Amino acid sequence: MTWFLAEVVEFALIAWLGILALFVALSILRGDIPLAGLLSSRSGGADPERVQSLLIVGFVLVAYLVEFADLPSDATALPDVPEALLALLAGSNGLYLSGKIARTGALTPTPPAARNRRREGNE
Amino acid sequence: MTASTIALIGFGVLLVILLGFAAIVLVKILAGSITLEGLISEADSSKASLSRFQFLVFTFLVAGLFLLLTIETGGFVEIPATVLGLLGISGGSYVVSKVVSAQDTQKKTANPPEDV
Repeated sequence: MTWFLAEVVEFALIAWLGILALFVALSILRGDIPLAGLLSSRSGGADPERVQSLLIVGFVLVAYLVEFADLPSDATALPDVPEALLALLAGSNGLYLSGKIARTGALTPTPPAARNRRREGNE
Repeated sequence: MTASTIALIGFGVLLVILLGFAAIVLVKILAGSITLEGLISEADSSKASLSRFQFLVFTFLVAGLFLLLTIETGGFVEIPATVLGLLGISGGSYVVSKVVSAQDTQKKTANPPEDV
């Protein structure tokens, strides 16, 4: 009986995840979840670091699915992600984040004029 | 009533509660009460975030393959450290991207562009 309940849970969870994934995919296709600006920073125009990041994500996704498809039928673990793929993804994300930081200037110090305005506002 | 019967009833009740939560959340998402509109948008704008998109894709990938393999083998399967590393890289990238966006918004609020 417990085994049967466990089977019910497994199939219910996979069905739940499948329906959610399908709904998210359909929402993206319909435009309810907007993808506008995915490849551009706020200034507009595609940024190369974003394009390369998206391409690498697609490549890693396909490569891992191929690894999964090659699993033997008696496998008891998910397939390992090759270290080269991990390094590629880490490098790609590093490049994307560096580009984002450089474009937004988020980590540059606040100019003195703005600091004085803030001080005046606090007095 | 034996201990195993009580355990079975308890397991069944827990199952109904947990699956009930999952079903309610899914129905509300499908009905639109829980909106997914900002799922991959940046916090302070409607612009799509690449790091959120990447995190979403890899989360669905690992969760889906894990569940599929679990059903196939009939028991929990091992998640290798490299798969956790993959999730860690995409999750870490999402967190850093969020911090950078927040810093940028803070700077723009503190230092608005002056009219010429």
